[in-house]
Amino acid sequence: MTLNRDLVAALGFLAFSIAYGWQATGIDMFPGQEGEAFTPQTFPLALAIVGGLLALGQTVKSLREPPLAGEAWASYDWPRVGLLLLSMVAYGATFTWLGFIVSTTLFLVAGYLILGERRPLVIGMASVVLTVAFWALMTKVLGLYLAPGELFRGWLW
Amino acid sequence: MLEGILTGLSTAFTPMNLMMVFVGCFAGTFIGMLPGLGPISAIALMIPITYGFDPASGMILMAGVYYGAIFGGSTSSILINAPGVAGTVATAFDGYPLAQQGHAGKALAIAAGASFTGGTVGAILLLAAAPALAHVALSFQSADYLALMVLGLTAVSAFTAPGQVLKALIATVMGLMISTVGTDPSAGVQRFTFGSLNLVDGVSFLLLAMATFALSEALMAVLKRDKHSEAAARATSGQLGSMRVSREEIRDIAPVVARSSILGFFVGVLPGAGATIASFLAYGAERSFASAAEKLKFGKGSLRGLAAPETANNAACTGSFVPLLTLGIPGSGTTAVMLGALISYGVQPGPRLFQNNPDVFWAVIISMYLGNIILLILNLPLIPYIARLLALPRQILTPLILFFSLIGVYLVSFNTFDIHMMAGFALAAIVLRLLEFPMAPLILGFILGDMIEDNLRRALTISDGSIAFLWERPLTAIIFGVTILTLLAPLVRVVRQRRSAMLAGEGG
Repeated sequence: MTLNRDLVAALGFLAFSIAYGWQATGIDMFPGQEGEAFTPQTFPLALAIVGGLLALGQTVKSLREPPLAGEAWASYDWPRVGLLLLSMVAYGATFTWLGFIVSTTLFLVAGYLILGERRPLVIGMASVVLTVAFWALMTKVLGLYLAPGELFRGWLW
Repeated sequence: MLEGILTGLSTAFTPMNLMMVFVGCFAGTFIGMLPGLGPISAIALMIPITYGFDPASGMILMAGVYYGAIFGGSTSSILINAPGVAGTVATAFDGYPLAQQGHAGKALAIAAGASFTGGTVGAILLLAAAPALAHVALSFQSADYLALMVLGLTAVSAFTAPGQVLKALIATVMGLMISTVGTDPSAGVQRFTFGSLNLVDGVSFLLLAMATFALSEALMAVLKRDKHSEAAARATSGQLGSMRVSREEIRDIAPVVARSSILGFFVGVLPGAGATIASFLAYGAERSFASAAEKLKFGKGSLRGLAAPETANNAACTGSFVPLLTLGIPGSGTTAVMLGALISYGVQPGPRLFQNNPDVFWAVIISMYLGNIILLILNLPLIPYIARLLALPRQILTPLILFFSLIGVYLVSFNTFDIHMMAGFALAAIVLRLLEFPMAPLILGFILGDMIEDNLRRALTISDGSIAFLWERPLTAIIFGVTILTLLAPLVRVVRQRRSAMLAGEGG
């Protein structure tokens, strides 16, 4: 039996709506606000109910008419996408410490390597040169502040 | 009104704004050409650049990008049969066969000419329709606005994913739910922040738009091992052929263009319909109008079949600005992103935009027209060169798209947490796309979320907690009635299909 993805998605959203609604009941209110026509909880609770109903509808629909078999997820290039997403997370994590120039260069080099680019000259031009040019445009021309890198504080400036 | 037009003209014709139109059209054409990256991504990528501009220049740039992206989408539809934008899928039906027959140049010229005419007719109709509608809209109350927004969301869900209306509605509700994260606008209490300071301001719309469009579209291409650039390199290294269109050909397609312009504009005005539906409708309409001999040519390189969707999609793009500028309610994913941008400039679109910021209102309308001219006279000759950029290898292009998306969002908030959030949203968007949940309703729901809550609060407070406001005013009741009809229409179709299938089964 193949997995009915639509069913899984519908049940997932149902669970999400319930969790969302449950969280919504915990939203703080000012004393005396409980009796008012509209409180900070009203809209989220309404959304949770509508979301739950839609999820139930989709559940019934996907049970009655299972989706046609789509492309196999396994045939997709998940490793590359996973690595790219990881490199994005790493970029965010190192940005303040390594500073814009170093972290961006590393991020771009990682991206090119992950996608199969191997020519050193191309990688160098499209990372170092581009990053420095972008940095110069942002800081020198537009006057924006870009993190210089906490790690180098002390021995570079 | 004349005063307004003159203000708009003087704003639009400043050297800075003229340059914006040009840069916008050019950048839009390039981004729109990249298969997978549509106008929403193109506009989202431009927003960080426009933060420092005044609202008129920013909007002018984005209107240029929008047109450029649609035009760029047509180019890749014609040259490599890979529409960059859903609105140009119908263009490929006849455009690509023409290119294969060696008439790529002619097909591009007709596409540009048809787009220009569609855009021009659309701009003239907009000039007439927008002020009138803005005037009417001044009498709207919060209940009417609420009804209109709910109608917009429902219509987008019903039209963007025929057969998957439930999924589209679920995506809309997800967008609305994401919009409730952060500080509640009326009471000032925190909602769904889980004590994190990073979430106190909520999720920025730019972040969500970039993650669900630019990032996820770029990553989807990697995921599906999309190898378009080789096809692009092959197509662009060859000759495009002559761009000349003969007088007889122009005479042949002129009535098609005229009909499709008007059809396209009105479809564009409707919430949710937009360029994609307009182009398919125009294509279908022209095929049914055509003579038996001409009908056979459709799909095999008919000039009429190329002109109709090209005209209609541009006219619809213009039409979709009517609800945005006059009601402040976007009718499509693209105009939703523009609405987000306008709000971040401190401009509140709606009937008062016309009174409070006439320069923005008119400058946008006039620069749309300018954008069309620029597309025709500057972009068309440049197409062979822009198309060469398409041959840039994917392994170089994708990391650059990722970088510009991430840094664009970072440069607004200067918070690295946003980069992590983008990675998370991008992954979620990829999974949702694979499960066939459309993303446009999600972003529209997200952007309208605050406004819907605000109008719901007012309507409920005015009617003292009773939901009678839904039917007390005839206008509100009518709009809600249309909303319900929009929701029921797909159901009726399903029931009818089942019944006819049953009857056929009994008969056979």
